[in-house]
Amino acid sequence: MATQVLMPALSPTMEEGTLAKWLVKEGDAVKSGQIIAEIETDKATMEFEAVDEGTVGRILVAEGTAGVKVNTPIAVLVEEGESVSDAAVAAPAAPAPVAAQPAEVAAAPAAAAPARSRPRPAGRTATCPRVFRPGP
Amino acid sequence: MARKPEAKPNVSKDELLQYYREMLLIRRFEEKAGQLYGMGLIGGFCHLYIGQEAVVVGLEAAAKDGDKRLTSYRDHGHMLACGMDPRGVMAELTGRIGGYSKGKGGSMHMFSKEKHFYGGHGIVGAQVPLGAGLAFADRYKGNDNVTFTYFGDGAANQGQVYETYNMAELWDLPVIFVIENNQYAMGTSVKRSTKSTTLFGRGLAYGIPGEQVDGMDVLAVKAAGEKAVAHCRAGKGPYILEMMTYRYRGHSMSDPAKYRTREEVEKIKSEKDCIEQVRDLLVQGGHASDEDLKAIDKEIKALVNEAAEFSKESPEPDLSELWTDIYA
Repeated sequence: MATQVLMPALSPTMEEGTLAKWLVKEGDAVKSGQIIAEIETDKATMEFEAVDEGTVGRILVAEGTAGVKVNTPIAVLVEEGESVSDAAVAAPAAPAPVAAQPAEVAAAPAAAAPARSRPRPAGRTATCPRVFRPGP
Repeated sequence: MARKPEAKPNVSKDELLQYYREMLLIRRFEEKAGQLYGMGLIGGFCHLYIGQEAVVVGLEAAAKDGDKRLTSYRDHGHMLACGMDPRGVMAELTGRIGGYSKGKGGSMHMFSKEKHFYGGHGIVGAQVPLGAGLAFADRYKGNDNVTFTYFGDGAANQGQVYETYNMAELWDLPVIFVIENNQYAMGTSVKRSTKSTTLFGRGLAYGIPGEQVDGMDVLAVKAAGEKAVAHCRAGKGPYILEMMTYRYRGHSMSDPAKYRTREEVEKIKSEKDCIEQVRDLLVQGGHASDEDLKAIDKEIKALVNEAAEFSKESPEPDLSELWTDIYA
């Protein structure tokens, strides 16, 4: 069964991010734990690991796309035995916006990116080392 | 592949399969937790144990019923290794009533009286004196239980650790201090925080014996654990095990881990991975085929998925729970 890869929240406050770079391409086999993309949050660029094993069936959000909301499908993984073309069938079967969303997102970023939906609370600096607390 | 398993370790097939299963459960569980965090289902902090699985699995193999354990906030692996229910742990991560702390403790604060797991502690190093206290109780009662007190290389630079060492040795407390040296205290490498980098050696100043162990090798961990446990049960006082290990992920979910290179992480993953080491032993020893291991992988995945489903379906705690389990 094809599985969707969703845009992850990589910090407690992240609501959207930039898909900075894909480290895999369509047709590549992926192992769980493998770094498949780099995601840029408002604080840092993070590596994004695959949880499920499979083959990259389709990439839904192109690299360089900004303002991708958390939980937006960004790719589809297909399992062993399924062909990559099955993914094209599987993706539209998922919730309707899947196919439309990437296009919207791709069009929106320039306008959406600078407007921060929620200002960072004052006094919380991500780079400040927290010696006695486990840290964010 | 640079992994070279010892020719014929003196260990049974059943044991190896047990370690394989237990370590795999922790890894898959943590990967799933990372995924749920990414979906916004887990709030607050979340520290994954991926890479360090051999430490808890090896030491639990040396423990008996009645022994106690407690650790810091990187605690999911410890709970799974001592037999706590993955569903209860995952539901606590998602803040649901079915969690071990009824959804009110989260990732860093879970307990199980039944499994003698005394937390999950959010303050760095604070669990170390608590562990000595648990051991004091057992000594007072005159039983032969031991307490595994886990802390990291960062906590090893805290003053309270050394006050605890002093008292633990003075009173011959049956406590094993397990330093999980994953080489980074958040983003600070051991070499950048101390010149005394052989952490177990500091116990010698207090008269506590100890040793450094390959914490990526579950069999070495178990062997060292048995030695430490025997020392404690014989009434000889505390023992220090410095487990040389490595975490593959960042300190927490929002740590991009730029203080080390991708090559460094990949080198450990390909040469030292604790699960792959046991996998090699199983396959090369003719104990399991690739199909057998695939079947186990599937079984573990189902277990983890079930825990994830439970953690989504279990309801959030009722508002009235705000006023329960509190002092004053």
